[in-house]
Amino acid sequence: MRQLILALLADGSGHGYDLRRTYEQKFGSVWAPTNDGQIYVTLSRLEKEGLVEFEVKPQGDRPDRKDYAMTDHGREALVRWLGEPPAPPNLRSETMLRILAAAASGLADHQVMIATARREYLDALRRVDELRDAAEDPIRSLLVESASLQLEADLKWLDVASVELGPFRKSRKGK
Amino acid sequence: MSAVAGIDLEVNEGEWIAIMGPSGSGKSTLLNLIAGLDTPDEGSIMVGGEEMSGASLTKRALFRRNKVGIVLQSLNLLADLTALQNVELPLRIAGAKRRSSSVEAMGLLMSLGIGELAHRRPDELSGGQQQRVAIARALANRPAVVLADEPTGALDRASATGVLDVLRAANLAGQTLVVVTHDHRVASHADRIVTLEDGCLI
Repeated sequence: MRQLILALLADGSGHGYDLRRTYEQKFGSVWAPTNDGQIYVTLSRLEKEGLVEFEVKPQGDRPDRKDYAMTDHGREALVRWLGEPPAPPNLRSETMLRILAAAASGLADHQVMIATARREYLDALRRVDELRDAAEDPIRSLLVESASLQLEADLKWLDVASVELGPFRKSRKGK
Repeated sequence: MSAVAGIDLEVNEGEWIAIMGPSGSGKSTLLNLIAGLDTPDEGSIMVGGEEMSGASLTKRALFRRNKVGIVLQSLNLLADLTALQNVELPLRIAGAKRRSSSVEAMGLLMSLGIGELAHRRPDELSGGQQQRVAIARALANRPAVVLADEPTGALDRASATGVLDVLRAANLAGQTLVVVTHDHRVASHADRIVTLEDGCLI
């Protein structure tokens, strides 16, 4: 979240509420529901580290507003992060490993595990696909597309695994 | 040897069923049986309380014309008609006026992203474009039941998204969908997924 908030501030300053709204429009709810409090906590940490600064704007009867802006130090940190080489692809999946361990050990029915995982992934895929309906922001559309393609790849793997692993045979040592 | 056997499947009105399973598992055969395009050697197919499996060819043809929209893998578009005319055809047969058929058909083609191709004939369209015309034709009459065999199969992702949205809208409007698909994104919107393997439901 840190880098994304810095990226949103690269164009100019913004107050907390605006940042929260823009963050939600572009990045929110695809991976997990956005926690509003987390945005303010992140802003506060960025400020302590000198990556952002804020100016208090009095608003008459209403509470004062904090307008945040990225510092030069923040810009350097963001550019450094953008220039890092891509992280190696994460090919490990806990679900996949459990299914394979079940098939190797015979201690749990891998086909039941595959069916359960398939239901969960299909539910997630439907939820992600429904986010597409309201995704007017191109950044958000691409984020939704990324989540959708990853889930589809996982579901294809579950199909392949279901066929390749065949029916469950209980381990003779299993109790 | 039977392509499908011992299948007991009940689809509720307004329900969306996805049929999945490996190639050759009998998915298309099952769809053809429901559509009345094939007849079962044993057992029965009931649609809307009516027995279809023993019905005459005429009765089955009328059933398809009035109640069912079908998209098969062989698209069966009429080569001498434009895309628009292909989609208008079921509306015209059902007695709709030329103008209203045209508006309805054009709306469907536009929602599938091929409005600008409305006046081309099938041989002037790509496979994916023809598939979308076939889907528009199947939905034109707003049939109670839509049967589709791999409706997103020949499509790129953006076109498949258009088809998926049209299917979702049809189902929201109360139409029953039975869709054979390998596409998990399509299946994820179904109320229920049934899986076929070697001609049997698993």
